[in-house]
Amino acid sequence: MRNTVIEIRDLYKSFGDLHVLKGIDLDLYDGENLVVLGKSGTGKSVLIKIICGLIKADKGKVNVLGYDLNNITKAELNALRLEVGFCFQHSALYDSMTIQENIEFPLKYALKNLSKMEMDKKVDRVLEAVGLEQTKKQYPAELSGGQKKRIGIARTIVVNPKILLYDEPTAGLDPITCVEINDLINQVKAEFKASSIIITHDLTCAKQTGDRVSVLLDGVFEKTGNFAEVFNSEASSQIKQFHDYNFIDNKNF
Amino acid sequence: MLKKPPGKRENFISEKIDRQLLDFKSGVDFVILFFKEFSFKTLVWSEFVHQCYQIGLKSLGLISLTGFVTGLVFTQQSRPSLLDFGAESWLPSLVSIAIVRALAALVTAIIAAGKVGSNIGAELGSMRVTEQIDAMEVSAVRPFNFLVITRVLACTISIPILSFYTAAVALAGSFINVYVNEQTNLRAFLFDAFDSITFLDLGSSLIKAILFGFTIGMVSCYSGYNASKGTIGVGKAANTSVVRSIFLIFIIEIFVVQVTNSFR
Ligand SMILES: Nc1ncnc2c1ncn2[C@@H]1O[C@H](COP(=O)(O)OP(=O)(O)OP(=O)(O)O)[C@@H](O)[C@H]1O
Ligand SMILES: [Mg+2]
Repeated sequence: MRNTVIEIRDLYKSFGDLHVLKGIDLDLYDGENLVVLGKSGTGKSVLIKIICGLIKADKGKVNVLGYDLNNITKAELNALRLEVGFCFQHSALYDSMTIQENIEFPLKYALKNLSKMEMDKKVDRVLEAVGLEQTKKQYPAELSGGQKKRIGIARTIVVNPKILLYDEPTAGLDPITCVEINDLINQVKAEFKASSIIITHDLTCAKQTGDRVSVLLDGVFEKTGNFAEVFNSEASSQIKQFHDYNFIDNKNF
Repeated sequence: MLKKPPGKRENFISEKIDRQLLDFKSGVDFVILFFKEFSFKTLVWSEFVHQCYQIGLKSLGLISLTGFVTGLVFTQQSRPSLLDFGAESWLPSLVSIAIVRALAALVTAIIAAGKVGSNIGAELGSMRVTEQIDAMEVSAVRPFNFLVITRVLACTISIPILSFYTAAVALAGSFINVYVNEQTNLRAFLFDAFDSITFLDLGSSLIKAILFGFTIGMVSCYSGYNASKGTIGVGKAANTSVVRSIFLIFIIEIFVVQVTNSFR
């Protein structure tokens, strides 16, 4: 039996009258990539924001690396956040800082007590991992969307987190860059030994990066399993629809 | 601090006034949070120094110009009234009292509200709507400490210093005017100018400038930090920073003048 790093039971979240999550159960095992698929607005981002403590759940158990998020002190939450990396949907790089300063940021202000040399070494290592060493002195505004995504990933992995949460890593990118990002996610998994949740509505990404796939429909997980299991012939019409619209020219993918 | 969810709560007065009251309350909570979280131990010094530079040094040009012109023009315009009484020799003391007691701090604060306030409001606002503040939070850096405390403190310290600088520049402007018209030499001018200024004047101006700086920092950080989603929110944050800062500056001015006068 593998270790569970995230355990969520019967999770509910509403915004006013809008019921977004209605009884989510989720397990993330050590060292796996779990893909969460779902239409826009189904609450995928809300789910991972709950996992890193940005949004508070209304009801339900959320256990991350042994911390119970419903009863967590500020100090514990900070300690947990060093172990949980979050890659934002729109990268969320700090505009006013260079790429190097962006990546140094968590090292300088969260880990602290690192020497300049250790920091430089770590920055160089992750920049090499994402293949963007040449952008060190540039500002985020000078980079393309795909490059920003990579830097976002670099900034997240620089502190060696145990869990990575990717919010739509391939959204808005061309197909070739998508494949490159997918490869990067797999490479990060191998190199940094992190467990990941990957939020997406891109089935190619799901297929390439996911060990398991979960489909979020109407606030609950409709189905979980490996890619073939989820999209087999007995899949519900909504899941089939999801599949067919993604591969609209190639229904027998 | 965060917006209330749109529940179906009964209105306390009317929807609009309720919203204002809630906004006021969350503003007060924001200030309380500042005092709770503030400590020199957790202060991010590098960011604080950077902000002092941004706020103080970068406003210097505009403030120099405004201060100088204020002193010069104020002297010029006051001359005829004094001439009517044959009292133009009182010009230096009249001008210096006006500058030190009121004009320097007020002019500095209003310029800073426009320049620094809109800057902070827009910067934090865009960081909020592009999730940069969330990004800080999830990387275990407390954005309130990193962004708000440093900026508020930098404003609170920079604006009083700028105010004294403005006073000096305004007096220089005034001196040039007096020198050209009455050929008063610098020594006589300074003697007259400082002779009429008391410690109460200096002290109350200092306190006023500190309050102005704190208010500008607090108001613009609050507007930016709580900007609502979208690019419209950024513009709105910049705008409310300036409008509310200037409004509060005048309230503080009136209040401090009343208190100071009760000591005279
Ligand atoms: N802070 C918030 N306040 C109010 N409503 C919110 C908030 N955050 C999210 N929502 C609502 O929750 C719903 C789910 O949002 P979420 O961002 O999780 O969608 P998503 O599945 O990530 O969609 P997408 O694929 O477009 O990113 C949306 O209808 C959104 O309006
Ligand atoms: Mg989303």
